[in-house]
Amino acid sequence: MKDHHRITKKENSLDNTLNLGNSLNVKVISENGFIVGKASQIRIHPTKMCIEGILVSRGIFKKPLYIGVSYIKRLSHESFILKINPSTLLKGKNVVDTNGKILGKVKKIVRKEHANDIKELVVKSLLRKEIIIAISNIKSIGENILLNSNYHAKQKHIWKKS
Amino acid sequence: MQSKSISGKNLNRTITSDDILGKEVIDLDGRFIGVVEKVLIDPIDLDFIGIDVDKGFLKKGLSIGKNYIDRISDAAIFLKIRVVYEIKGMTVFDKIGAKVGVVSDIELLGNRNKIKNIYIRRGVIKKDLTAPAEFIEIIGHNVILSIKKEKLLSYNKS
Repeated sequence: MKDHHRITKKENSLDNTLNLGNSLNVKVISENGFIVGKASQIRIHPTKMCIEGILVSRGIFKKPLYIGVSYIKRLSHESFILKINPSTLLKGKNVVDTNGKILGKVKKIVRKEHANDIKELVVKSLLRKEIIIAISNIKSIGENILLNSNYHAKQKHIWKKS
Repeated sequence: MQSKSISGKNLNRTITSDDILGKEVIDLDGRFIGVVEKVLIDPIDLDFIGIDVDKGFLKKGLSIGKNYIDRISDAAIFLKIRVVYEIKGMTVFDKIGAKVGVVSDIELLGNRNKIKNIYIRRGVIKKDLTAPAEFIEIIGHNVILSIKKEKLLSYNKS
């Protein structure tokens, strides 16, 4: 590191900080190792002068994600590693019931306001009406979504009255 | 057609091999592993030992012991575990998110579903790296190590 004058009160020395310029366009990795995208912007609070979050670009066809700093585990010049698996990425995953039957794919994720916490999932399959599954009915979320054994809602075909 | 029984037991709650063969196998992660190809039985004890899973064309089959099976439902067999062989082909990142390579092979502890070492391929020219299980922090969509790449490289040199 080039020699420099240091003027700080309580803050760390230069050597104990990261140059955010080097962290732009690094990959953003979710808690389970999935590459979410690239950090296109690092957002700072205008008066507190601290990092508020990062904007993650996911390619030209996908909406970027703005992820708050409370969900970031680690930051380095190589990547941002998140504490979470963004729930918005569940779209398109299969939902499997307790009998092993695929009920459909996740069409929409309803979250608690802007947090990563899921409230319910909207699941859709071909020729069947949408079903709403509350978080309490979900056993696990991984490669696919497994439902609890106590979930027994019947799916109706789209031509039947609700 | 009604059948007679001389088993001395109530067979109403039993299932047959037809109820198992051809069913999808789903692991703890919700991953579809393959389809049950065979049911394995001990020829002396006549106990159900496990299943053979067909993972698809050109893929090696997998034998899973009954202790790893959670339950058998109408359409699938659910496992209690995440099958560690499925990590083959996953990308390996180090502690700070630097890419290390791709999992090329796995060494298990005996025949159990427990990792002893993973082997990481880094390209055609570079030598593969070995990472013991204690260096693995998370296995999810990919693998994240608990150490930096440099430490892994020095571990492999020693």
